[in-house]
Amino acid sequence: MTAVTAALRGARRRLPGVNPVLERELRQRLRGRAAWVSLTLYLVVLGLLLRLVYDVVADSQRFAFGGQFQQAASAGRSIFHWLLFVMLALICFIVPGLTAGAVAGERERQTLVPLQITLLSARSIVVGKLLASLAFVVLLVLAALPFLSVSFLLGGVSLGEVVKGTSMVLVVAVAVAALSLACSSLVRRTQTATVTAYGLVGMLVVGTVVVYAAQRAFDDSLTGSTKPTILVLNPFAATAEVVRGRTEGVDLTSPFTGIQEMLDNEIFVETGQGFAVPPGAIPPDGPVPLPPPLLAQREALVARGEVVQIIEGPPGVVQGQRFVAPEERRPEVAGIPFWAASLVAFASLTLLTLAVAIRRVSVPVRGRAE
Amino acid sequence: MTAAMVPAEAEATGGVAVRTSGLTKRYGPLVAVDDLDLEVPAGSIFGLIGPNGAGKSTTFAILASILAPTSGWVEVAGFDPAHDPAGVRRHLGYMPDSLGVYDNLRVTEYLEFFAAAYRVPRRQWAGLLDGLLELVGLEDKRDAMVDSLSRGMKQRLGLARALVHDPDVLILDEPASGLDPRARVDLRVLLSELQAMGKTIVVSSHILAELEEMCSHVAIMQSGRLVTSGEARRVRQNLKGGRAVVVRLAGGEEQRHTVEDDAAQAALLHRLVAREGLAVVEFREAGGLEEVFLEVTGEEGP
Repeated sequence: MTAVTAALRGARRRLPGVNPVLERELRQRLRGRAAWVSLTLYLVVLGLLLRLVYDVVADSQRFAFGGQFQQAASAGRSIFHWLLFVMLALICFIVPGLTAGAVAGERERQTLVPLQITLLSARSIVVGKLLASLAFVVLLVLAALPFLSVSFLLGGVSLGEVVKGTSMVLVVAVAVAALSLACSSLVRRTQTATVTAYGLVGMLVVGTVVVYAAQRAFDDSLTGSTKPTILVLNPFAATAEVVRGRTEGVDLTSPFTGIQEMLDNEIFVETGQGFAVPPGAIPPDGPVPLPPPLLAQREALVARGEVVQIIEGPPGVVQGQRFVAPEERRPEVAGIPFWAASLVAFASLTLLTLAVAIRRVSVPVRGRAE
Repeated sequence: MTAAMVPAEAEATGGVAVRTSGLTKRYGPLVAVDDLDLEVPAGSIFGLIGPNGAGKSTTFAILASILAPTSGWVEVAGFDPAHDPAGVRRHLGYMPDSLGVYDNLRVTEYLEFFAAAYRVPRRQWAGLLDGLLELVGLEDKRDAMVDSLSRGMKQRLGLARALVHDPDVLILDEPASGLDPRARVDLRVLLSELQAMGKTIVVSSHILAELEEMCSHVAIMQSGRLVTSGEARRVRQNLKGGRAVVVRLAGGEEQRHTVEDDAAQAALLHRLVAREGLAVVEFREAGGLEEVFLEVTGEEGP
């Protein structure tokens, strides 16, 4: 035992690269009560959830078609999706609370100035604090792995999906931590910073969906589809996309189904060409009386395989719609797959918010006194 | 003080550890520091005195590379804090007027953290901590949690923190505020020890009595401007143009006299008691810095 301790101590001494802020924060954090209380709650919630989903799925499948393995696979898949969903929700809930005090708390305790005048750069201070928060998040994700492995054991989930799903949860966690850190650096008081951080995370989770719904409501169905661009910043949409199964189909036992359908609805719709003719000009049968130049245009479009429809309205060319099968097109934003766009969006959010935090921690300050 | 004890940087700038020239800091329309010229001789204990809001803390924040000045020129241990903050930070120990400490951290861990932040090699930590804790008298508090320490102990821990990287210049903002008389005496002894170690110490206070006995040099600030500065003794004399003596008679009557030197003071006492036959119950010099301070800053008594 003493040999082990000595060896550990020796190893620690040989580690010159550990960020002092990270080391100190971890020490304080793991000594405090908040860390183990939140870890315990998190695991209790996940454990109860696992049990509940398993029971529900097992019960609903008692009379279902298919062999035992297929039933187990379906249960495994449901459990995996539910665990991922709740992990994401808990992380969005826990991380701002753990991070929002990082800089504001030091300002409040008046410990920031002594730290700022050491030889540590503002970047080291901010990165140290981010890593301290993330170390805890990684602990949360790792602690959930035994639960996730249950779904893996039951089948229905590939190792790749587990890796992709947890990776996206981690990417979201980093972004949420960075965002909370920026709030913490911008606001003077921990309480305000915490409220602001929760508000902003709420905007990512709920706000993006509200904006998207509003966009869809305002979009004229004839002028084209609503691109799900705003949803790339929604943690749940991002995760839903990376765990989307190869075989499409409505899986009612997955919490991601609703989000996937929301994204799906839009990919079914693609802009095409249409022609409008004066009201009453469309005869019940027989060819549509299009003027010759439009008729030629229409034939050219049909020849190219485009879906062309004719509606009543002010004469001229209008935008129409056509439906695309899901396997034909995955959701895309700006020409890249939705999940990749999400990755880019969360990475940009992380870098941007970290830059803000670093700027706010840098001294000498050229404006107002602290 | 021998030449070897003077920090190399201070020698390079002619024995001056801290120098400001035309230093000005504005916050919008408010001028916190106004055209301040200061010179702190290397190896001195320099007291910066002024009422609250005189600009002392702002000046210190600029010296410590926390704030950038609006205009003017600053040099600390040979470095300009606005343009070479790292240079200043290597040579400066700064203790702000607040005693912020972390929770869930032990005294040794607190100091180790700052040793790491100042890039003191890990193998030197043990010896460094022993030395610092002995210096500030916290040896028996090694494993105490920092937020459980008393105000005076936090103050001493703050001083130990400021000394972790063995700086040449120490800037202490209101180090004596809120300390009981015993702790204040300890602080004075500690500062003398540090001075003997060759460090230049700049301290501030709005209460003169706190600094009067410990400073070799003083500067008095008011409304961001320098009122006067120099050796403590000279400042006192220059301002008074002689020393004032307060005489209290039985029955409560008070007289004030001005004398030139010790001989005149002795003659005055002799005249009052022997020739005029007055019942003198108190005879004291009133030329303390406190009175000089009140006079130049035009303040009411404390």
